[in-house]
Amino acid sequence: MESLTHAPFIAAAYGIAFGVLAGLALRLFLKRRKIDQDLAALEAQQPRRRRRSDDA
Amino acid sequence: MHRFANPARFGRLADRVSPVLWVLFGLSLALGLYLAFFGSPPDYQQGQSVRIMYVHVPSAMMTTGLYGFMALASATALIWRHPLAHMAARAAAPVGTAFCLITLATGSLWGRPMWGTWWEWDGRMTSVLIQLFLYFGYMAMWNAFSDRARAANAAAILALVGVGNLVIIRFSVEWWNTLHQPASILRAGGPTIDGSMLWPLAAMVLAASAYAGLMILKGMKIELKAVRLETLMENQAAPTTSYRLDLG
Repeated sequence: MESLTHAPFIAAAYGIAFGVLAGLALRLFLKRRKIDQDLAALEAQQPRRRRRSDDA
Repeated sequence: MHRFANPARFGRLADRVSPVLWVLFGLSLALGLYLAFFGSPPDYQQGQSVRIMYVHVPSAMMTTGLYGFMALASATALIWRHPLAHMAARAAAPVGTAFCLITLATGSLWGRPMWGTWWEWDGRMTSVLIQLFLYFGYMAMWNAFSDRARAANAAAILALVGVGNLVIIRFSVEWWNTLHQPASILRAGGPTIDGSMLWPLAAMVLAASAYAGLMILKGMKIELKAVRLETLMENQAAPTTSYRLDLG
């Protein structure tokens, strides 16, 4: 009986812990993806910009 | 230590260490969870709710341990000007914050059935809450300045000031008469808890440490890329500005 009354507290504790840690990993993954996209876009622009400045 | 100041060398080291940490994390988490739920007995007083300890105690250890790491990295950055030290401290902050949130939430969930209250303004709980605010403050400091170097130095000073709170957390259960129990693992006379509970706890501490290490390495690599992105953007803006100036 006691195990049943404590079960929601145990489930909530583990649920919150894994949720927060998974959220942190997801945040890092999204941040890395955004930076990778921005870097790729900038690096793709670099040669074109150099050519344009050479022409000028 | 300055061997790893080179970002490329650090990147190669991080790439080699990360798979090892992933394996360590997976194995220790699987073992820890198995032992926590099936390989350890219920407590004679607390019953099944003692199983919250296997997630609460490792989180609490990470909360203080990561703040200590942050302070050490900040001191290294301020004293020896190690270029990656600020990044290490910055990468550790959200990880420490996450563990601090888990510590407070799981402590509250453990306290309700055991003490009959979700929260009590006692020394241990209040000092851990202050720890959370210090983590928030550190992260806010990084975003408070547009100049990266100034932000890094201000955040590093705050990290060092906050070390005092680590001492308060550690001794709060001895200095004041608190609802929270005194130390039962990291104490002078050795752990007071039974081996059947100590092993699952050790496995979960190892899993939490491996996870923290992984997230810090990933955070530092992202930080390096962010710096590269900023430099590229500045370089891209510079020719345009000088071109306009030349025209003028």
